Amino acid sequence: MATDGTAREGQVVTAASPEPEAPPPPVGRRLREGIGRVVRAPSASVVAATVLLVLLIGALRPNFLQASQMFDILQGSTYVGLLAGGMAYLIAMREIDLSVGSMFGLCLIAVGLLIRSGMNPWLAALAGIGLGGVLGAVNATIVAWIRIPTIVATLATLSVYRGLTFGITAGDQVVNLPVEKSFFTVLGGKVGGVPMAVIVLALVALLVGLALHQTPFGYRVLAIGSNPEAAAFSGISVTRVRTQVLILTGVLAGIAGVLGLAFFTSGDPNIGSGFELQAIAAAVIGGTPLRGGSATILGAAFGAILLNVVASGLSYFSIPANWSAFATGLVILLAVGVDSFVRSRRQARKGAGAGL
Amino acid sequence: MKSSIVGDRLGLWRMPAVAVVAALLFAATACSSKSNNASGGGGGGGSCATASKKLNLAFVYASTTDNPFQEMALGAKAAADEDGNVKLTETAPTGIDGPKEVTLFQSAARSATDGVAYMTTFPNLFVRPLQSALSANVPIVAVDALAPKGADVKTAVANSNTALGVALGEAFVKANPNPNGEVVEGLDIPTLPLLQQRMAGFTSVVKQKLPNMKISGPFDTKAEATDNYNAWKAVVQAHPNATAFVGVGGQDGVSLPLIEQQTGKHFLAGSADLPPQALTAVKKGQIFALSSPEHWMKGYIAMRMLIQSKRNCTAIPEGWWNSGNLIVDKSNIDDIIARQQTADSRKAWFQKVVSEQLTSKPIQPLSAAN
Repeated sequence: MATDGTAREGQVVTAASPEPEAPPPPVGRRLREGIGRVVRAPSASVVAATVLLVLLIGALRPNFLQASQMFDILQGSTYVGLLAGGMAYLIAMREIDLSVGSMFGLCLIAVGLLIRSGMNPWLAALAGIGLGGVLGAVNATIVAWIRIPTIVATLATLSVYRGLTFGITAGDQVVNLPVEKSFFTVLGGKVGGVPMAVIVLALVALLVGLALHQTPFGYRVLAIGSNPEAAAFSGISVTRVRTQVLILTGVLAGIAGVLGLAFFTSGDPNIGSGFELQAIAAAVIGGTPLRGGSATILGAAFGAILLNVVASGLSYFSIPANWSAFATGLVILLAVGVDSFVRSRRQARKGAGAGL
Repeated sequence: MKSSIVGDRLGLWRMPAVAVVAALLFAATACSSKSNNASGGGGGGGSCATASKKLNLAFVYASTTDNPFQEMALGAKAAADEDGNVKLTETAPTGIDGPKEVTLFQSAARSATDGVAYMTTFPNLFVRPLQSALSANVPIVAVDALAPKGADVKTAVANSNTALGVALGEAFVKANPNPNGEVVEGLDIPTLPLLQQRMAGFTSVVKQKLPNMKISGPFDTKAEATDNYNAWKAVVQAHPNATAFVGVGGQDGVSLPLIEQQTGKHFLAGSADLPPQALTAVKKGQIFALSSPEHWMKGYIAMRMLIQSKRNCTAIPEGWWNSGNLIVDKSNIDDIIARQQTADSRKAWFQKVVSEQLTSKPIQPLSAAN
C-alpha cells in the first residue's frame, strides 16, 4: 500500500515521513478527526448537496420523497454515473475520453442486435461488456500508435462509434426483443423495490473506487495524474496504465449499455449522444479536479445523481421548461465554484501553516 | 464565533453551500407555482368529482430548443389556460436526450397525477415508464408519435406524416420544376420514422407525377442549426446541377434559403414545419411551400382531452386523433405569419380549426396512423 491511513479519499501520498511512535490519541479526538476526514473528503460536498437538495425539494413538494421517485432518479443516473466513474479515472490521469457516450450507444445496440438474432441474452450482455473493453482498447491503441492526445483520438472515435451504431442498424431502432426473458425481467427489474441497475451501479462504484484507492493500479493512476514526468521517472509505464484505464472506461460503458438495454427494452441509434459531457460534468461536480492527481468514484456517481435530482425536482414546480437549463447550469457552476473555493482556502491555510 | 471556527476546521460550512443556493432557486420556483395555484377557477361545470377540481397535468416534450416541440408546448399551455383551473407542468431536456426525457417523464407522472401528455423522438424507450404510469392510474396521451407496443397507451394525437409529405409533393409539382431535372432530398434526423414517412410521401408524388425527374438522397442533413446549414451547403455544392432541394425537417427551411441567398444560386426549395425564418423565406419566394404538421394543434388537443375527461368524468377517446396538416405558400403566408406572432394570435387563429375538429372528431384506430 502506498497510501497511508491518514490520506484523504482519492489523494496519493508519494512519500512517508518517519515519525517517532506516539501514544494513541484519545477517543474524542479520534472521532473528531474521523468526522473531519469524512467532511473534507472530495465527495463530501456533492453527497451533502444531493441529500440536502432532496430534503429541500421534499419539504416543498412532499411527493418528491416517495421511494419510487428516488429510485427513478437513481435508475436514471445509472448510465451517466457509470460513465462518470471511468471519466474520473481518466481525469485523475489528466485525460478525457469523449467517446464514452458513443461506446454506450454502440454496446447497447450491439447487445440488442445479438439478442434479436437469437443469442442467449446473458451471453449477449457479456459480449456487449467485452465489446466495451475492445472499444476502449481501440482508443488506447490509437493514442499510443498515432501519438495523439486521448481527447483528440476519442473526438474521432466518438464519431466512428456513433457512425458504426447507425451503420449496423441502418438507422432503425432495435425493437421486438424478447422482453419476457430473464435478462430483461431481472436486470431491468427490481429487487426488493430497488432497481437492479442501481444495485449494479453501487457494486461497480464500490469495486472501481476500491481499485483506485486501495491497489497499486490505482496508485499508479493517481501518481501519473499528480506528476506524469515523476511517475515515468519512477518506472511507471504511462502508456500501459493509460491503456488499462481506457479499457476500464470502455468496460464501464459496456455495462451501462447492457443496463440501458435491459431497462428500455429497445435500442435507438441516437441513444447516449451527449453523455460524454454529462459524464465529465458529473465527475467534476463530484469532486474530481481537472488538474489530475486525485479522483472520487463515489463523488462521480453522486454528481450524476445530483444532475438528475435537479432535473427531476424542477418537474415538481410550475416553472417554464426553458429555465431548466439555467437552473441546472447554476447548480453545476455553484458546485464547481464551491469546490474550487474550498481548495484555494485549504492551500492558503497550508501555505500559512508552512510559514509561507 | 467558536462554533464557526469549529465548523470551518471541519469544513462543515462548505457542505450546505450548494444546497443554500439551490434552496433560493427552489424557493423561487415555489413562489412561482404558488402564484399559479392562485389563478384559475374555471372547470367544466359538470357534477362529477373532478368537475371543478384544480387539475395537476403535465406536458413532457423532447427538447426546449426546437421550434416544433415548442409549438406543441404552446398548444398544451393554451388548453390549460383556457380551462383556467389547471396546474400545468411543462418539462423537457435542454437538448434531445431520450434517457433524460424518460427521467423527466417519470417525475412528471408522479407529480401530475391527473394526466400526462408526452411527445418524444425516442418512443421505444418509454415502455417501462409508461407501464408504470398507467399502473398508477395516471391518464396518458401520446403526442406526435404513437406509444411503443407493450405500453398499452390507447390514445395518440398526431398528424399524418405521409399525408404531409404527399401535400409537399403536390405543392412541388405545382411549383413547375424542370421535369427532367434533379431533386435532392434531405432528412435532418434520418432515424426518425415520422420524417421517413414524410419523405416517403413526397417521393411517391414525385415518382408518380414527374417520372423523368432524378431523385438523389435522402442525405443526412442534421437537426442542429449550424450542422444543418453546413450539411445542406455540402449537399448543394455536391449537386451543382440539381434544380430543387427538399427537406422535411424544421431547420431545412431555414438553411436552404440562406444558402440560396449567400451563393446566389437559384433552386426550388421546400420544407416542413414553421420556423419564423422559413416563413419569411416563403414570403420572399425563396421557398415554394412549407408543409406544416400543425404542432400547436397536437399539444392543444392532447391537453384538452385530458382536461375534458376529468371535467366530465368520461374516458379519454381511444385511437389516433388526426390533428391535420397545412400547406403554407404564397396564398396564405401573410395569414400564417400573423398567426405565428404570439400565443394569443395562435389561439385565435386555431379557434375555428379546433371547433371543426371537436365537431368531426377525426379519430381512427391506432393502427391507421401514418
